[in-house]
Amino acid sequence: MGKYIVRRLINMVPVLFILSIFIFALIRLLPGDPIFAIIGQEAGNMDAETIARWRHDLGLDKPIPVQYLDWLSDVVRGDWGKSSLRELPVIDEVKQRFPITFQLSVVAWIMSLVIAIPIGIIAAVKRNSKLDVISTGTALTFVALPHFWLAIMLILLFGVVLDILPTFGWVDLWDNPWEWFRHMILPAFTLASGLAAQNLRQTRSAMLEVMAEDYIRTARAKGLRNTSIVWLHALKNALLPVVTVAGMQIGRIMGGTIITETIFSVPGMGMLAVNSVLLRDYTVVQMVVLLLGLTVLVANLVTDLLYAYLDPRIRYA
Amino acid sequence: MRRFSTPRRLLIVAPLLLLLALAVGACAGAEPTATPTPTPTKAPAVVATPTPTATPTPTGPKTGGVLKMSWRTGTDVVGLDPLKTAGGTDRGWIFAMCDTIYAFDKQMKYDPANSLAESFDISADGKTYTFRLREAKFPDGRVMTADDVVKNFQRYKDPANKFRYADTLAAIETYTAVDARTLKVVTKQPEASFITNLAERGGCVQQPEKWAEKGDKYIGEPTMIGAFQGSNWQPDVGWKMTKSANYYQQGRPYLDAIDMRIVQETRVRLAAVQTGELHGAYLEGEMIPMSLKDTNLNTVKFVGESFSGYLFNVTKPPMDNINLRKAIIAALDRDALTQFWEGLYDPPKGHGLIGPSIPWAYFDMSDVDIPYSEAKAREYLQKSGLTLPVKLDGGSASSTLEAQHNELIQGYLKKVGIEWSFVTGKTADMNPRQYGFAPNPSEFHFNGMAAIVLRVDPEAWLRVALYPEAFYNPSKKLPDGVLELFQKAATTFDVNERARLYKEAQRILMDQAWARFPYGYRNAFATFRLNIGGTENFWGGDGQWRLKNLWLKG
Repeated sequence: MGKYIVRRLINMVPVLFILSIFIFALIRLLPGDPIFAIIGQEAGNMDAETIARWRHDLGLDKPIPVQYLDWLSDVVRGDWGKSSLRELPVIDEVKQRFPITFQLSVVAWIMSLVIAIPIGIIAAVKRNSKLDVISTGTALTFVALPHFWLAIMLILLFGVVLDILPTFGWVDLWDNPWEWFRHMILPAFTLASGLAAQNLRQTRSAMLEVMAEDYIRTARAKGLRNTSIVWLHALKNALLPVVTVAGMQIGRIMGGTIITETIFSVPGMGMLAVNSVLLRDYTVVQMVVLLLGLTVLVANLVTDLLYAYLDPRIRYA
Repeated sequence: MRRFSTPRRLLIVAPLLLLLALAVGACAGAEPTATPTPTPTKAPAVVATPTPTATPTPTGPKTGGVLKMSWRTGTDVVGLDPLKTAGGTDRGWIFAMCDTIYAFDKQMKYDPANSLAESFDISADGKTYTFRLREAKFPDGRVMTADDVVKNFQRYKDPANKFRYADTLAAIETYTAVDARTLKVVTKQPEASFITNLAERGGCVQQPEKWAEKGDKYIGEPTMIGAFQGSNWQPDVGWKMTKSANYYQQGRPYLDAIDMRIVQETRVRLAAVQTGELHGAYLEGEMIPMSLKDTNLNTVKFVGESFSGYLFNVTKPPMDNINLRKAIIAALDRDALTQFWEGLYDPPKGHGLIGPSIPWAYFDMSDVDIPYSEAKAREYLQKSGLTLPVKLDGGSASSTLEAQHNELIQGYLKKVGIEWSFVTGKTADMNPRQYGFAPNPSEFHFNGMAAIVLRVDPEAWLRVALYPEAFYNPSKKLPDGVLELFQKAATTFDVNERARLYKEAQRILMDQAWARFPYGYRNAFATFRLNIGGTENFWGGDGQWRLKNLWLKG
């Protein structure tokens, strides 16, 4: 197992390397001269010398391959650089924001599983019942709902109409756990809704499949109670595909934070990514995307390791 | 078997916990939020108004309290130090933290009560300015001196600091502190608009010793002479502005502090004001009519925030044909186009085309205007000698509203035989200096521009709009005689004569439908809860916020 983990970690290096090239190239494919997006409208009034100074200080006067190598060598040496405009070290920004996105993502992920698995099981066990139809229909609805729309509707309902939850912002967990929780509910639910729907469908399908297996029939023939059959015998096998899907959802959650954080004014990595793209803050965008990519790779590794825990037949060498 | 026990318990307990947590969270509506709104801490008091703009309400402004206000996007805020700030939009709040050497009143005239210069003289040759500085104190009690202004100019003008507004101080040749309160500035040539440039951030006076003392932190907590002192800047979250100790204006600001929060999504910003999480917010787009309809909110407006208009590139055939340009103007129903914006921004009170009623627009276009007339447009096209349909191209900012605005233009033109196609791009990409990248106004025949932010002073604005090298002049040309008028105006210190010269230049430009044809203007809006006083003095004549005039009614 140890060797497997090390091998997987080593394999991440070329993936991250290729990702870094993509990020570096893609951000530069955006139309327009970045210097004008960075400086802003005032660039129209600046003399050529000042614009040239800006370009030089940001390293934009060098050939693009040289810019890439400069950036990569800095990153490898642990120097993540400074934001072009805000002049804050990127590492400090990430230190402040990554925990926020991490908390939001984990809570959303757990929330999605906590909602999806029990309902998925019940929907499978009570197949074609009213509960099954309602839960399946609701799941399909939530899969179809775009995050930005759902987020606004939740804000209007729980914030403006019912006036029971805050409409925006973030409170640190250690500053005020209760307010942290209240500020977490709506963005986490927004993120969780689509995932929960997907997990619910996956759980239901997997449970239906497992419940048709011979060993379940044997268990029934032995006279075991239905709850024991479902919770003790069927569930663990049914969870394998759910874990696969849930593991892959980490990437989707990370992507979802971009919209969710922006709407709820949650100052996490998603909002940092959005604003950095708008500001053409190359240094920040590159690091943020690279870190999000790394997070997805680590999540995939953890998912694979979970397989081994859930199914002893799986052994990694 | 044992391995199943924990997941089973979790699967049963976790949903219950979550439901419980949701229920408790939902029941917590009455609980105070993390940052409760303090009520005014001091007894209500009638405060004498130190500036001509302040008007006490019948009950009188109260002092104390923390206002929670929202700014729009995090990208607008790249720090609180005026040296570092960027963009036109942050002018709304930056001057709440720093007063400038020269300030405008509501009539766009010199306002000594709000200026760091109590008075100033200009030499007969128009090149030497002698400023008498007021006895203003920094928050720590140290009195501002002329030497401080000198050090600030040095910092702003140092090319290494890449001050985005360096052009506002470019006219300066020398600057010296004559004594503690007298500053002498000599310009390279007589330049009438120089003094008004000191109302921009290059006119802010910061406490020089704090630059080194605070180091990297200075960008988030600059020390300046202003009503509030900024601190706790957190990118994309907000910052705090605390009442300045030793501020020179007695009784101002009324508030103890302003908690400025960044809420990017416009609907959420309005929602937060509706729920009371915020006291006020900048408004945009379709939220404006919603705020106007909400009887629990007070929507305040600044008239004429920006222009709508067309940019003609007379260097690109067939736009060099004046009859084609006139045909375009005649073909477009500018009233309807203005109504398009009004329908979204200000339905109850319509506004006409740009005219003398707008305080910063010198020109009255009635004598050179071309009325909307399809027949007249066809007539101009016939005179142009061009083969129909005339095919033209253009660019547009990518926002839905601006694209829709251009689609309307497209429809009007098609009716008379002009096929106009346009591409969209980010607003920043519309910068004419971005040669080699599309969409670039210089590459197109003409563009319909829907949002061009007003400059601080009308003189400078006209230069920005129409000068040969101007930001919004894709042709980089001017008709005969106009450049001379601009140059003469730039060295004319008589405000009335300068206005006359600009008006004459403007008339020639409009008569020839040259380069830029403005037709309408848009307003800026903010919304407040009803317990906020002083909103009638919230917008200054220069379109900047006057946060020091606001107060909490309790």
